Amino acid sequence: MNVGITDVFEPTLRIFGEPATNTQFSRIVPLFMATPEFAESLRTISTLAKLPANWDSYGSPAVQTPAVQRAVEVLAACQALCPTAPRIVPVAGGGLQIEWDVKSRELEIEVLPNGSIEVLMVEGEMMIETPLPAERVYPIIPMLLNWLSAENPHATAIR
Amino acid sequence: MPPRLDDQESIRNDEDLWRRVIPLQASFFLAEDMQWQPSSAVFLDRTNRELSVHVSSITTVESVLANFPFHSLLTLKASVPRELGWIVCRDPIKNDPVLPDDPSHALICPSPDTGINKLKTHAKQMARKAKWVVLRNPPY
Repeated sequence: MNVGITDVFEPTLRIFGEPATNTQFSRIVPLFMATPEFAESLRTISTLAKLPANWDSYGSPAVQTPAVQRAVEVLAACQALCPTAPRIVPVAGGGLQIEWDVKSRELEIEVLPNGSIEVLMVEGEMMIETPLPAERVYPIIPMLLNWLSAENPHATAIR
Repeated sequence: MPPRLDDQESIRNDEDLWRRVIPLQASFFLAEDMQWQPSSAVFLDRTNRELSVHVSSITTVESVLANFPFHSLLTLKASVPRELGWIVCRDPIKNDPVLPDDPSHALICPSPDTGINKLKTHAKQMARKAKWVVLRNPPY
């Protein structure tokens, strides 16, 4: 069976039947541990990774492979903590954006075409934008999600 | 490429600028006012940071959406990006190898002083102030 990267999470395949070798995804999260939300998010990314050039009708290049790889890392870092399944959208230029909102708070994690990450935290009119170094994805993403869901209005995620 | 110049002569502050939204990108969610809000990603372009729009006074909804039966359409006053320090200028398309001719095409461009760590904030602010001209098939 010849399966490409973007075919790994083809929706018609059952989760436990999905191929677990020779893919970038399987190196990150064992599939038998994937939550339904995580698997669904990967399917969305798989769909977006197949968008052709000019998908936005304004001349954008296709979603770039480094962005896909990094977005999967971000999802893997947060899968146990996601308050809700994220919205995942393509960004013109070849990147991806992962978004959540909980009450008055919003969190946007944008993966740029080269795989670098920009974060936007929103609470009402207050917005904080900051880059997130790739090597800090695993410690920082859970903190960001804790901030998103925290009851304490003065909770801060980035120290 | 020479720097873009703000064109307040032919694009006044009260001009409506339209931008097509692909269904996959709309990321509709119900804001606190219970209105469907577009994702800030609609106002981001990492290719060269310039956003394509259409000057509404010289085109029509039917023309902008002619070949895009599933796309929605947002409008934004030209004053909104200008208040954020961005530039709005005409950029008519003619004889492009990919894009069809479009005399209404214009660009919203961040000023050279706009730091990279402001683009998402500005995109979010523009998304919040944008209004739907055509909203097709919100998914929920």
